[in-house]
Amino acid sequence: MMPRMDGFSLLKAIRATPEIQATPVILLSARAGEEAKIEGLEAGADDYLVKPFGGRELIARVESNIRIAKERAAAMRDYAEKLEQAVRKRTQELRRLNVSLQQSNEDLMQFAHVASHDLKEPVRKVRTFTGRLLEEYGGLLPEEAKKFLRKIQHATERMVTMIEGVLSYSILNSNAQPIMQVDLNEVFANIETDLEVVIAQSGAELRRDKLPVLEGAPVLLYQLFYNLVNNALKFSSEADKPLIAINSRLAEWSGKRIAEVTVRDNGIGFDQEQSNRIFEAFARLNSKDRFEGTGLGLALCKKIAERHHGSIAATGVRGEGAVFVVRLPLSQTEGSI
Amino acid sequence: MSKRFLVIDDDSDDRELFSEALASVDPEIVCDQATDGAEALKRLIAQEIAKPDIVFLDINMPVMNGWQFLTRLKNEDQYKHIPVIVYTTSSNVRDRLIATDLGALCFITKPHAFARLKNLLGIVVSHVHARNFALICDDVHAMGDMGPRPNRAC
Repeated sequence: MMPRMDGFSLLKAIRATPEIQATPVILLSARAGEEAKIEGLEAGADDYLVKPFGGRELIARVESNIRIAKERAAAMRDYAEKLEQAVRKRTQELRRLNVSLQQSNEDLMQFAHVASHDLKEPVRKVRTFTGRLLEEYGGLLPEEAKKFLRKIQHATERMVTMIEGVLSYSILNSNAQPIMQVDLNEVFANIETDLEVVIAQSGAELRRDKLPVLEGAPVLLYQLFYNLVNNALKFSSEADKPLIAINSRLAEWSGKRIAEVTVRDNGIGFDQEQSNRIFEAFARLNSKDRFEGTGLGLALCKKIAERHHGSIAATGVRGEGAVFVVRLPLSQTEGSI
Repeated sequence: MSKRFLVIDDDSDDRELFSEALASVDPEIVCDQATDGAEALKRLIAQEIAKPDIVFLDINMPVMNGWQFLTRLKNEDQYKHIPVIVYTTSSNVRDRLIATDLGALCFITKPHAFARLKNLLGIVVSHVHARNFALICDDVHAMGDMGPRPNRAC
């Protein structure tokens, strides 16, 4: 018992202060008896001495408490060190695993790249020579034989498309792309030029708002929007002429200024339940007899949007059309992605 | 004097298709062939083959690939002015950029249809006769589907 702050309060304060909390505390009190002792020890005291006490006992208790405190501190240090070692070891293991995972990922991409690159040559030759057979010797062949040749041509065309898809997917994954100012109006103008023939053949109408300029990798953004426009043309309904509307608005998205670009069509659409699946690699919602493709187009779009720290989402109604919304930050934090 | 083309390609089918298409466009043209960069260089230096008016160069070849050959050729004073068209299966933009960096005249992805190969060679031959090498690339790419075009960001 003391004025202003009693022993128990001081003890509590010591135990709550990190710098001194391990200091041994011996309570000195005139209160004898089992109860008082237990109360003191429960409050966090290391020892309890009842007044009056002899000098030798005090010294002995102080010495033993200091020894215990030292041993405890040493044990704690030891434990902390072991813990640190274990953490270091685990971190190293994780880092190693991560590196080997990255490596095998790169190997896989490299494999896809090499395999598809090497496949291009034989496929090109199959096309060249079936083409020559038809053109140069078509007159000598019965109709049935020409039909078979056309089937070969058709199948190899599909192979070419798929190989190109796998190639661009693997290239996209491996090369860092420099960031620059990209005028989306220019990107869409290039896409329209490159799809000129398809647009003319299908009688499609493209309506495009003025679009923003943003930071990104031009090659990738071209590919992203090319795939979306190409899909809108490809998955058109038989009844209506394709109408593709491209709009944009500026918005705020998780603290960043973004452009939200919408590509809307009046094509065959899709069931809303499928809206996540369509971005998976090799997923197809439609029979490949009617709609050719690699099954990689939208997976590629998603990768590109995410590489720009943006996103892509789709909504669709079967038979009415599809809407793709691409969100892209106006500025990028790094010099390349 | 008749013009000389040199095609460097390890693929015998492609060399054959090339020389056949070239002969159909202009039978007067001499078409020398080599199976890789090293062989082409050796035979050029030994004057086994005369200096060509234009070279068609494949990239992926054993012994000395297209890039190595192009680098060597552009370092030789007597050969560095020979226009080289990189002629490959690749349609990779990065390969096109490398070709431009190394001083190739043009980058062309090998067409699938024989008729297109003949059209393409028709354009090249007429410009070679007129020595309008600078026009080759634009006119070939105007055919469409000849691989990544130069001079465009995307």
